[in-house]
Amino acid sequence: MEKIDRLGWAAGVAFQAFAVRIGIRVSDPLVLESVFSRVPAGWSRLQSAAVDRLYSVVTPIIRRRNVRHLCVLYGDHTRLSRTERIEDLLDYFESDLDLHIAANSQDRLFIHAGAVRWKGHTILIPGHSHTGKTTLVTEFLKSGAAYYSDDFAAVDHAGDLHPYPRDLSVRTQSNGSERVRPEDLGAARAQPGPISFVLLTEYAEDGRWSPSAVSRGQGMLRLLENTPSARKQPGFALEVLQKAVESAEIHQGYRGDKQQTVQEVLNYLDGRSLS
Amino acid sequence: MRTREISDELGFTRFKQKKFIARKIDGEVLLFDEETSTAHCLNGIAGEMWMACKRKSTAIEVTEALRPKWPDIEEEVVWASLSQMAKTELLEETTDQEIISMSRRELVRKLGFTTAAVLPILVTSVLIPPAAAAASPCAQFDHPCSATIPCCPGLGLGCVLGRCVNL
Repeated sequence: MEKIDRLGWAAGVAFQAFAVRIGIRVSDPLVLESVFSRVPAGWSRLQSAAVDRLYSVVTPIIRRRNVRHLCVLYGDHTRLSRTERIEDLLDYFESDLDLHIAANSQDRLFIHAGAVRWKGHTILIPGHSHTGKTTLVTEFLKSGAAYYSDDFAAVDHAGDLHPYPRDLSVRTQSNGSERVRPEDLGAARAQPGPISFVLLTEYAEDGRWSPSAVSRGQGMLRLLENTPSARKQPGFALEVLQKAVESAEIHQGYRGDKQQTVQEVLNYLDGRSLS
Repeated sequence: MRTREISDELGFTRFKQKKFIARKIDGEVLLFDEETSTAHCLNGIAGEMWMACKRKSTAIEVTEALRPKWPDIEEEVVWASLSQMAKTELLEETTDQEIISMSRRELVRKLGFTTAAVLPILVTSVLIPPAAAAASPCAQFDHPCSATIPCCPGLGLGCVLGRCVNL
């Protein structure tokens, strides 16, 4: 038995999200609700305690003067985060949980991408963190698009895109992030649908959106790079991605100003009939 | 005019697909190597060449398989393309006669001189990053970290008070 398992655990819960089994245990029962509030919607409770990943949260119960009170998060037996602010720990938990689901789900294929819907066109913007996905998604929403996701796009076995139940994570000036509801930007939540347009883009200081079309094979290669489960389940990833791009146009290019980019993409889609 | 060495090389060197997950999409072929977690996208003709190597095949046999679509393709160009794909680990290459591989360098030089610049194959390869790397960049020792930028795994680092320190 590992050392951590010998600690006294006051409360716990086991649930399933996107067919991935997750457990949470906490040293302070009052913390469980806060931790659980970070689980994406659509989970269901498990009767069995057998899980694929177990999160353990240790928080100080008795506070003493002149002593640093640290909250510690473990993923299975690995320490993931140690911080004085419980909010930081919860942010870390949320991000690790999303990644774990994305890397292990067999129910959906997750692509690291932002996604919006505009007049029947589903737009996918793949990219790693800090490549401006949320910036573009926010701009699309302000222009009237509906929201799927700003970080993980969830694709089903038929290749259709589904919303990922998280609000936008907008970076603040202090290098933190805050959640913004798409409704606060005047946007609706999008319904599942096939992917029609993939934007492969990065910001460049002097860039201007002037894209070139990319073949579906090349596009799939770029999507695979942004698929957390690709190494673990390559057959599943290829099968779903192939269906996902089979009626999609894929465009690639650097972008500069976000407003100009979004406007040009929307103008292009407005001039194109739905397939 | 083709020398005897070239004819022998075309007839005795055999190429066979390595074990990949393969998908055909719009004429291109996508390959995934589970051993190295590398994905490759082969353009139309490269994909057809790769597909034609299901069994150990010579350049002459592969050329025959390509002729219905590419009637003008030359056996030397196919051989050079297959060799190129073997070099990038997409195909396994074997020679029936050891003596042939002795003259190979010269052959490559002779063929390479005329074909290297005009090979019709195009292969794009990417190394698929581990799940964590795809999700976010990570911070090195003594660099600022946060919930969104964790410390790099495997270095014994932990994020303490916003900075990556040794644990």
